[in-house]
Amino acid sequence: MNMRRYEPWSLLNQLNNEMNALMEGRGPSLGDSSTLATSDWVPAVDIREEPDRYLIHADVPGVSPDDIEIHMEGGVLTLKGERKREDTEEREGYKRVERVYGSFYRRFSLPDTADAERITANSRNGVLEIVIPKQEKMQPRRIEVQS
Amino acid sequence: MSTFEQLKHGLEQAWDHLGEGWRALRERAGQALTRFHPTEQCEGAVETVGEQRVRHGSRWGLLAAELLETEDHVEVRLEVPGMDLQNFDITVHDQILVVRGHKQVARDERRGSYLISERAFGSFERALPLPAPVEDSRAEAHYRDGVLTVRLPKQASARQRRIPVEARR
Repeated sequence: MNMRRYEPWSLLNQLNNEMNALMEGRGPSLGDSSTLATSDWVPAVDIREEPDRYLIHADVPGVSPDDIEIHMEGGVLTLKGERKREDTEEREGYKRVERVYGSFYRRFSLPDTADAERITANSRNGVLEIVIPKQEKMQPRRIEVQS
Repeated sequence: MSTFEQLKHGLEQAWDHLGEGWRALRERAGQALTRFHPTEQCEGAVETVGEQRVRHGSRWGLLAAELLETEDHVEVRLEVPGMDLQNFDITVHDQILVVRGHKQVARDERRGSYLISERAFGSFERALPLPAPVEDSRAEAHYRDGVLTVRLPKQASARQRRIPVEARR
């Protein structure tokens, strides 16, 4: 079954990418916003490049670190997890419900320079941080000029 | 196609996406969509990565709330990831809970260059009308996994009291 969920964030990202490509004539970016039908919500992310590593920060409020899964396969990093309800019963008294529960799913294709073996992740205050070191031979090296 | 037509076509497409995305977002998020205002002032002549991050990053964040009313209290849960406790300012005015905050770019997040920036930084404010008058002096708040929970006891007059009906002979 080919069901597509409506993802406002990915639409806005797409817009952002299109605008950027239009204005700057840039190619496609690192992120792969192909979210599958299996996700109920999409976390907002930041991806930053430093000389020796890539850093991903994802907003995952209300998700316990135990419920987050990170996979690396064939140069594609997959984040998935689930936001579970805090109380299972007592559903009656809700006067306002904006929070979305259920699973999230996001994939990113990493550049060849990423070192898949040494990826680490931790979660604090609802922000997931993934550190992806670059392979040592790919790191910029300063070449001394001899006189 | 000429460059101008290409640009026009691109803009139209982008505009459609914006309209569509905005409608979907509004529909889904309701009032959770919150504007973030940049608070980091440019200190020197050269913009730092942190300042750049705030200026170029998303100005809108989703602060999704949940409000639960029971017989004797009101509980509000708000998703605000990545906050430091001291940057929360929570007040109650006339049956409205106001949560203000300031989300800073961490010091170690100021290096390097951003490839994607969707997370919002800066200061925000969300006001949530409460369904009953509360005793704000006895309110409690805690923060866990990026979710702020505020528990407000209802004022005695607002509590539901069940009046038992006695059978009279």
